[in-house]
Amino acid sequence: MSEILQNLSYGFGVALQPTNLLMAFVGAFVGTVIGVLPGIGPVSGIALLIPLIIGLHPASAMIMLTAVYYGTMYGGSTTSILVNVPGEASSVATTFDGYQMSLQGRAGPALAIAAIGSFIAGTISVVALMLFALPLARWALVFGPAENFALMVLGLSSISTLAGENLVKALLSTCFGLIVATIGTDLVTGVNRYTFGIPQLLDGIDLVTVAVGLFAISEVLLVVNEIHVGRRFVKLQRIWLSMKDFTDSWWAIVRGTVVGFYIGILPAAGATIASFLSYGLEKRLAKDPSTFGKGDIRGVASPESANNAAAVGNMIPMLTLGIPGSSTTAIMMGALLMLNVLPGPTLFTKHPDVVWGLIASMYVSNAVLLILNLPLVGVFVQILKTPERYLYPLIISVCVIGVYAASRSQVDLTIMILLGGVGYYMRQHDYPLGPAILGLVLGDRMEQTMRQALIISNGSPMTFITRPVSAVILALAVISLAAPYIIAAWRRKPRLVAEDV
Amino acid sequence: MSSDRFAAIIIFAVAVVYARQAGAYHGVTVADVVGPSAYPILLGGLMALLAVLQFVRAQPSEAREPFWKRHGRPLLLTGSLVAYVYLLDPLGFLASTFAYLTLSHLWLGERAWPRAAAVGLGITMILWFVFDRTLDLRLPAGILGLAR
Repeated sequence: MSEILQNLSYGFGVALQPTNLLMAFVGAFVGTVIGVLPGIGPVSGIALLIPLIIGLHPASAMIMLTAVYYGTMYGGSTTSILVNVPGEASSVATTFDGYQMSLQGRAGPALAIAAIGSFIAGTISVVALMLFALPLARWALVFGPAENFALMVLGLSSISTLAGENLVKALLSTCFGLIVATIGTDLVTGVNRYTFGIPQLLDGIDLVTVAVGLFAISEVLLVVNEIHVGRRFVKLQRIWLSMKDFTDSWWAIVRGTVVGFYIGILPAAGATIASFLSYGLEKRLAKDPSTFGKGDIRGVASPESANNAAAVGNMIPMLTLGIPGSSTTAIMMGALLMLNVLPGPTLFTKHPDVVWGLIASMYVSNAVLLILNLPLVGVFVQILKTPERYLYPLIISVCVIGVYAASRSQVDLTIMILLGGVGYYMRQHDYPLGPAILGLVLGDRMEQTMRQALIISNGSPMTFITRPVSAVILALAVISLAAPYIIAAWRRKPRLVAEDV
Repeated sequence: MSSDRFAAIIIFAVAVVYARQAGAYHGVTVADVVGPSAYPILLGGLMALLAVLQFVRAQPSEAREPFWKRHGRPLLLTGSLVAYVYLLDPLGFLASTFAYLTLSHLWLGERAWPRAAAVGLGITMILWFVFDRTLDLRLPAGILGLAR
């Protein structure tokens, strides 16, 4: 315990440096704006900021990206409550009661409980993260290439299971990401694969290019068909909560935190699933469930706490095992790799400033967002009023700047547009995008670990099965792929669908 | 034929070409027992298998709106984006972005062209100031030659 406190105070030392504090402020603000704006989600938002963090110290970079991630969650819930437009999939559950509260003139308390619930959930789960992460990282330290390969298979198979209704399409999306990752010079032999003589492809396709094309451009292509003329905006009155509101919500916040954190740790089960599950749980536990969906404050407190706790829980597999659990953490891991920091068990010993600075900055971001968001809620609503005919070209322009800045090449801009088309097709035909981005981020290491494991075993693929830890992890991967079919056979019920995993 | 079936055929073809191409890559070291071709062949094979599964299980696609009504705007947006990207270097960031934004505002529904141009100019200047001047990302200078 004293070790954790020591590490934490070290982390605060990093997070409270003026530069890093500024990063947290800028990140939180930009993140909230991204969260508020329709047509640009957390993945595109973080991807667009990657060019800006290259050259920064890895700890500062991660602090900023974490603040952006948190900010998008806050921003997403703000629009859910005020205009019934969830900025992100993880704040869909918030619309059920949040918007109803707004219609009853209680938008202020709804926003306040969302912010306070997120703050409490974020803080509790950061403590839990510290307790879990270190032992897990120590345990994973003994993993060889075979185990790491198996872990990546598990990560990819579980995200494919949870990402959409159609498992085949999710797996095809995974393959797409893995295939894009093989483009470029093979690190072991120096052979150029799938470069077609284009020198810009030798280093592979940049993560920024893929993420911006596949997520941001395709998002705009999809929403450009739905330009609205006017929306109903709710007048804001009182922002503050009454004591009764708070005591009513307290247990909903605590339960939301526990559910959210637990779901967040599971590979690939993200904030969206967590928010729906805890909303459902709260409704089931309520004495009078009929108040839910009609403006019950617990219906806002619970999913908002859960999605924030899940966002923290999500960091655990990424930081300790190097396996991101969602598209958002996959992008963050990609950013770390670009800064030459390899997430995984060695991160804690090699880059303690990154890990503990990041963990401490989660507290700091939570506090910053609480300070920033309640007074500025009016400003964010104004941003939402930007007419879409100005907004979409602006987003496209920022995408072009982002990709150009990261690559300085016309080739990458062309690839961005092509992938925008691919993403548009995938979105329209229910291929989830998350698995593709996870495949892209993990692809290189997956091939390397597979080859290393086979070199050690003299080419015998049995090594993945004869090594016990690897065998257990691979078995879990098979179970995760079969689970939906087993459950569906068990009881014929519709499954939860999540967009952000 | 349902659109999922059609996609499955395309994906299958891509997977086969991808795996065949991998066969052409040869390693040089003896220690690397696997070589640079095995993993892509494995991936291509898996993808081909999934494509077959998709082909077999595909459901007939539901009737949708006519092609142009559904994809007209996205296609126009893509076209304007291609033009923007290819004019970025020759014209420079300021001129190409101003033109792109202004024209986009107009076709996306802005009726008053002075306002479309004014907003376009304003956003262009803000973007340029933030990304080029403040964050030092060095956007293409082009014909206006605003080099530093």
